[in-house]
Amino acid sequence: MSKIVSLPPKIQSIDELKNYLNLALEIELSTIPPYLVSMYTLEPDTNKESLEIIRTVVVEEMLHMLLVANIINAIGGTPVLNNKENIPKYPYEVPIKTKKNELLKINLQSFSREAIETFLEIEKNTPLDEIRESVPRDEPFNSIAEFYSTILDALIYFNNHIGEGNFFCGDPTKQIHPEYYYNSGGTSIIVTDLESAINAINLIIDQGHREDESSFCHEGPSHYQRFFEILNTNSEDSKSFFGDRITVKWDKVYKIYTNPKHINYKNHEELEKKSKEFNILYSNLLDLIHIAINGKPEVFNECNIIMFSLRNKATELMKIPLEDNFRAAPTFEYIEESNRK
Amino acid sequence: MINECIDVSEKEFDVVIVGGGIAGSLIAKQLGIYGKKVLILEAGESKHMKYLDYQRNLDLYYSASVKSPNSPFSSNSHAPQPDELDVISKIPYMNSKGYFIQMGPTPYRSDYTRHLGGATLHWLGTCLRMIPDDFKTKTKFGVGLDWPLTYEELRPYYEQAEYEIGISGEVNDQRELGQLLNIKEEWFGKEYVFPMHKIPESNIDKYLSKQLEGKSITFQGHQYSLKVTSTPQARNGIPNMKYRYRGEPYKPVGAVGNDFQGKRCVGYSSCVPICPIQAKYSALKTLDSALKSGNVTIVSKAVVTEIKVDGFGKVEKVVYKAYTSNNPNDFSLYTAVGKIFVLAANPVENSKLMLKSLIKNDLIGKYLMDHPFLLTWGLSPQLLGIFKGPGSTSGIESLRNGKFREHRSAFRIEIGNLGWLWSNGAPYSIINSLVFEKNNSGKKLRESTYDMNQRQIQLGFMLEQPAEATNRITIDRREKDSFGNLRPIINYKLSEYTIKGMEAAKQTASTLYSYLGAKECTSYTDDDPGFIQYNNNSYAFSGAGHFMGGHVMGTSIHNSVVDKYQKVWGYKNLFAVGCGSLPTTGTANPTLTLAALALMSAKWINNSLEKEKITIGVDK
Amino acid sequence: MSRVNTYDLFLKLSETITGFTRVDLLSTGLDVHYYEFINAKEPKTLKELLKKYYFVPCSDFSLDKSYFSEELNFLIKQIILLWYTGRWYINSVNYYYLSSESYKQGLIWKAINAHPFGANPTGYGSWGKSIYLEDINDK
Ligand SMILES: Cc1cc2nc3c(=O)[nH]c(=O)nc-3n(C[C@H](O)[C@H](O)[C@H](O)COP(=O)(O)OP(=O)(O)OC[C@H]3O[C@@H](n4cnc5c(N)ncnc54)[C@H](O)[C@@H]3O)c2cc1C
Ligand code: SF4
Repeated sequence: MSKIVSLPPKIQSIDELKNYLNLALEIELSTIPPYLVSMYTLEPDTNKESLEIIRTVVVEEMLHMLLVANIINAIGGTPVLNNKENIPKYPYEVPIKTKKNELLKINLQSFSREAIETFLEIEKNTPLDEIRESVPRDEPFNSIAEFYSTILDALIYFNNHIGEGNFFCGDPTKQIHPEYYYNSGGTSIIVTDLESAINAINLIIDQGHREDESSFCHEGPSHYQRFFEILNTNSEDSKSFFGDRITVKWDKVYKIYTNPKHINYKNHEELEKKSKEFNILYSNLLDLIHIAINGKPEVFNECNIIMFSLRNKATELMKIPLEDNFRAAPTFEYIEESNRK
Repeated sequence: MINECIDVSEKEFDVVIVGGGIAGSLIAKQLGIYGKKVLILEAGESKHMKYLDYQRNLDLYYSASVKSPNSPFSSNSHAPQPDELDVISKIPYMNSKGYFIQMGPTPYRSDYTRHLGGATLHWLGTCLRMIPDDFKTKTKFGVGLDWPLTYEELRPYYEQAEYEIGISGEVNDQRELGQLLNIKEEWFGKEYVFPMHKIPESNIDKYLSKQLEGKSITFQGHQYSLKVTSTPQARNGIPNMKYRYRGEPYKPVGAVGNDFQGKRCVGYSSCVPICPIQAKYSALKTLDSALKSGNVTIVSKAVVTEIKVDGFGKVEKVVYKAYTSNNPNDFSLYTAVGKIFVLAANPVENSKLMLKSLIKNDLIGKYLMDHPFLLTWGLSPQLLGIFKGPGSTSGIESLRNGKFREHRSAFRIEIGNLGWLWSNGAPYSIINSLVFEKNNSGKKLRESTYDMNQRQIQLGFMLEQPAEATNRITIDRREKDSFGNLRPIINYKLSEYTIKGMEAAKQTASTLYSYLGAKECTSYTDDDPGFIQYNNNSYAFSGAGHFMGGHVMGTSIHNSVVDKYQKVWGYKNLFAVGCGSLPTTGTANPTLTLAALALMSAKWINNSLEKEKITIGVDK
Repeated sequence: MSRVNTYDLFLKLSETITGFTRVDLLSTGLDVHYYEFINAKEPKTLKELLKKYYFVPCSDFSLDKSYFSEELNFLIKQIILLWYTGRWYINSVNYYYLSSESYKQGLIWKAINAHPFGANPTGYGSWGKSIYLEDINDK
């Protein structure tokens, strides 16, 4: 893996690397609400396969956030999740190019072909031989996989340049290790040196973005392949998640306004209350994850419980009818601590 | 490989196993790993080995009006199963409208499931080890039967069983309990830890633990502590990094067919009868890994009806009925041949098969046992934060041993996390009476519903039951159902020893409720099928689902059906495994012990296959 | 009364008799289903009940007082229990679930601060944290 010795133009200093890693954290986080919302719009007792597929992806995205946090901590940086600026707002723009050569925009929207196509863009890979050795400084990445491989190059470069001991100088007690995070999305990796950092990044790329079967270690289809199956249920190219062909009922879905905003509920007192409760809980959760990845890994147990509570609140919101057959939806807006009561 | 109702008579297997429950699957997995060719014949369906089909059972549960243990697992006319709901009365023939013919005088109240995976599909998953004294109750207390093996012999297999099932628990809590129970032997190895950390204690566990700190109860001049102990259980938690099995750390096993589900319990609270995500162990997991060895074949929808023995005490084959539809005539009879045959169909079905096949031993079917279960309930002055989490996460285990066992049954006390669910159908029963009887509505109704449910304490007393020859399973060749299945005939009675245990249990309950400042609400009515009166007091017991006995193990053909390796006396290649082999019930839920015994048998079977030792036999 | 009106009145009545807010009722996703079910089962009694309810001051509502005939009172009880349990009670003992969804959406679970057995799990360890949100806020 130590092919690169030169510095990628995108990342010129360790501080810049830390910023990119925090951006990675932000991007990982940005995918979760859209996945969740699309999942919640599935009508009860329909599209069970799609629901399960999306759920498995979300669980792994959470793991990816922790892996990124572990890398940041390992090199002595500070992962940030409690700052309004670092919390995705929707539509959220990811610094990567889509097929149409535009920046990728992620929306909170109903389960639909369009939504899944966006998800595919998020998870798509760039074939290894097409990954640019060096992405020019003022150009966006071609894929998130390419984004990570740039980070990987920088990690290798600084490691070789200033020495492992100097580079991986973070406080090891800040690592989220498997006792704190063990779930069905795999186990977290403790990052203390270049090798473990590479493993962590490879796990992210592999779970998320693999398009073929060539890559290593992880069993089962990648996120890309899982979403691909939803769009192409009968295609020979689909890797089957459950071993059987799945069915997708695109019409058994609640309609919601794309990128719903809390402010739009203001004429609807009780709904507004429920929506605010949701956002407060979401904000609490992010703050707690922030605490957990900044030296108190045991707090993860609490986060876990809140995630379930969030889910229950979100599915309640989804059932509340608005005009024209639309439904309310969770808006995933971060509320600053002073405004939470 | 899993197949439905196919003919395997052309193939030859090393080992043919009857029944794909936990006993059969553990043996299949071990032998498969050792490279032996194994066949499992399973009476029920197997489609729930697929994740989405498993989920369909959940829908049956949601819409069932009574959410009994078998509600997600529908009955199948070719392989009928008993149901808790069959028992409706104290009058035996009234309780005989289902699969069992109940002769009484008291009803046998437990059930099991005849689907691949067996009763572990709907079990709770409590996994306590028996205590060393349970293995020698005859010698020590003059009651019941002695085992042909000691606790020490079984201990390594307990450890293996805890690995295979995947137990979450805190070994130090067990060690502390061991001292209270006066266990002199090494109950848990010095360095031992469970594969996963204990499942967090529930709010009510913590509350009781605090209220009962330092409290005790006196029986015949001896003081016994009333300590709350966390329960080791077959449900995924957080792996313990100190744990090693053959040098490897523990990895929780997720749902069969979906590795992204079930690696940790998230509190669906429906463990009995179905864990939606399979965080709770079921034998499906062991079967899944057994299949991965490539040496195990499962044939489902294959009901074994007879064992064929040659003139020299050697089983030649078993006959099975392979059915395709739910039509009485829609089946074919096939045979399966192998070197060794293992009956793992549970105590009732094992006994039935041996009786039907004229296996020679007068004790077959005898010594049927259960853990009679006495529910008690009370209202706490405190709101408790219940109706969440697994059905139970702690118990009061400190009364499981003592000199009193010379006179009466010991018991363990299960602390319920789900209020009065099992004792009277809460939370529904509460709102029903608030609305229909008390005319409550609106805000007041909502508040009372909260208040009256969140104060509920339920303590279940699980009683030891000694082996008695008159408690038994028999068959009568004329007693068949419309599909031609022989119906098990059950004779069952609680002895005075157990009823005295019940008396002590009830006293203990009253003591506990008074320590808790709770109002005891237990009341037993004489329309309850398990109603009993003794010394002017009333009790009503239910079943624990713990079928035990029927082919108990012992030291010779004169006192038992199987030897300590669960080989049937007098037959060279026939084994009967499962809780049927247990000579005593002790006060531990029996499946962990069943698993340990099965693992010991698997090792022995493998050795004998290797050495062709079976031709020598070990009969005296 | 038009359909929309009676449906609306049905929701108002439901708020009064269950003690839950309109949004709580709507968030079951079964409001229309319940309304249509009852309307199909007991069209006359429901109509009469809603008419009568229209004239009863909310604050005065009680099942004890004899505003309502026995028949109407029984229907009210059926409606309460339908919301709370997802079951339709034929009499005070016998019932059936309308659907698996109605089981899961029973408001009783919310009333007792819990979740339906087998659905909407609360997360690993949540059963040991009675007031877990407050606990966390203190950190
Ligand atoms: C409600 C409930 C809760 C329980 N909770 C606990 C607990 O917390 N802890 C504990 O230790 N135990 C518990 N148990 C008991 C536990 O479930 C059983 O002890 C255990 O599952 C028995 O396993 P087995 O493999 O011996 O038999 P089974 O599970 O009964 O499996 C037998 C298998 O054989 C098949 N079979 C039957 N007849 C034939 C035939 N003729 N031909 C082919 N196949 C056949 C059946 O279909 C089944 O798959 C509980 C039981 C119940 C009912
Ligand atoms: S509490 Fe829920 S998740 Fe946990 S084992 Fe029981 S049913 Fe499964």
